[in-house]
Amino acid sequence: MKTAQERLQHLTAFEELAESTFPLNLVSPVVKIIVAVVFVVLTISVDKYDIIHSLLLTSFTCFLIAIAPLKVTSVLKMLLYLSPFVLLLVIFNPLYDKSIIGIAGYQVYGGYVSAFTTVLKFINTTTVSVLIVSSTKFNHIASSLRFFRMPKFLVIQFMVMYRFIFIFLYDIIQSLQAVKARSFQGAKFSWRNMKAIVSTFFVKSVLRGEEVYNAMLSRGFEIKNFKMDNRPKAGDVFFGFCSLVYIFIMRFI
Amino acid sequence: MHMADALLSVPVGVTFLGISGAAAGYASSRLKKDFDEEKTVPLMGVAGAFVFALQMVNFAVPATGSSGHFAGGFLLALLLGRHASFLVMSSVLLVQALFFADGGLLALGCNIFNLAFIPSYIVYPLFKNIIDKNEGKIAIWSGAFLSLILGAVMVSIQTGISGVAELPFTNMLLLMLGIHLLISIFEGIITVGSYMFIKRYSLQTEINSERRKLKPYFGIFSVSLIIAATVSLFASSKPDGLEWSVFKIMGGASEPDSLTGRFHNLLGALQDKIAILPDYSFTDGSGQWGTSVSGIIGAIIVIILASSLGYIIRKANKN
Repeated sequence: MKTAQERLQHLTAFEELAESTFPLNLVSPVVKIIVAVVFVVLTISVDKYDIIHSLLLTSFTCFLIAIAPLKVTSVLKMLLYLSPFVLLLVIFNPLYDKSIIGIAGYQVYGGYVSAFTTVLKFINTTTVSVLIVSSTKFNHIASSLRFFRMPKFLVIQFMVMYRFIFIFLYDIIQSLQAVKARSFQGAKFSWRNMKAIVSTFFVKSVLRGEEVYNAMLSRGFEIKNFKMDNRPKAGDVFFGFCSLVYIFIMRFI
Repeated sequence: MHMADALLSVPVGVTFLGISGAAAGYASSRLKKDFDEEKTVPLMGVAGAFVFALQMVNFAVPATGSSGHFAGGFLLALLLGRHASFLVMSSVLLVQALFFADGGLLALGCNIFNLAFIPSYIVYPLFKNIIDKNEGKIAIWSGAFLSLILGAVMVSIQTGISGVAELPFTNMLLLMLGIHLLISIFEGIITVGSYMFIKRYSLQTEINSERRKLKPYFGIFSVSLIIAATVSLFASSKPDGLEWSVFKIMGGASEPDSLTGRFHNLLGALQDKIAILPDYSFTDGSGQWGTSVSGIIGAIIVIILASSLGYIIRKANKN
């Protein structure tokens, strides 16, 4: 239940952050996505032994943190939660890579350097993605995906599913609370009954989903005419241009 | 099992983005044909949210110190059919990548391939006909199990090709399979349980409208390629039985002089020229991936030859 509640809180917090008026929130989502993708590609393309360029690119991450609505502690929490898989694979680098690399006059094992740059790349790419999304309203993200020619059906599916996730999470929390509250004698957990709860839950949700979707249709949502105006303005283009120039300089200096 | 950007190289990330993007375009175009707006869209949305919710249930993997969670790709394929399930799973991964940073933007293509493409387009067609006949629990379990295992193998391949992690491919594969073997067992059990219980209730909405039989050729082809690519890396560098016998009997590793003649030399020279991967490795003899590429090419050639032979026999029988 804690996970469901945490996820719900996380999504709700993102919705609220996107409504705030931080500088990054004012930039067009299309421009932000272009900048994020270019940043990710250039960061990943840095050589595994190249600490200098990885550190230089981190300066852009710091700049985004300063103008984005998400707190540093929240970013760190997310990084900590997501890091085990990356750490599990790069932790072996020092064991298998015994090549000697010279850094500032010191001789260091290449495995340590590559492990460090990989973790740095992970921090940079993940943080930038999270900051961009946290400063963008959900429907703007969806329309930006359409702007980049993502299949219409996939974008609509993405939008509808996102809305249903909220309903689903509320229902799960309520159901689990009900299960917890009704265990009077502290008896053993019954999987047989739990399976029935899950399956009826799905059926109920399908019917509820149809209701919600019909409500969306009644409010004028049409798949055939689904498009949103997403043209970046002069200020957005300026932000995008300056960011890209900075990223390219940091990468190839 | 979500890939992170930091573990990928740009060519690998971009290649899989391209493959997944093309698959999304194909799935969208196929779905438009039998599209009931008022029924299909909410059902797909609910199914996606259902799998998203199930993915939050983490369970500890004994003896590894790690935890796993349900993936749900095969369950979606059973419920919605391959095209819809691919799009739903892709949108689940998109939400996870954007809002939870679970799998990066560049790695999205790899994640969609591993968790959506494999269960929907590779494994589901292999098991659909069996499941349609008798709704066998073992078939459903096997489909879910295989989907996750192939996904774990692909993660190892993508990471190995990218060359960011220094862990040798064999060790990485064993590590991934070790962890995902147990997770896959649970994946199978949850898929069987969920599918059986959902099917028990007759919904007004037609869930999986794919009624025709699917030809499993693409699935067999893809599984063969993945197996060929990975298993060939475990090939021993020691001589095979025949080579060993020649060595023991004749006292030398090469063929005896009595067997070499003008014609023999001519054929040998021709073989050296046309062989693109001599002795199952690249011409410069470098890199374990040469063995893997040899495995893939070998599997493709064998599949083409076997299919052609089957086709010729069928034609001959008809005549």
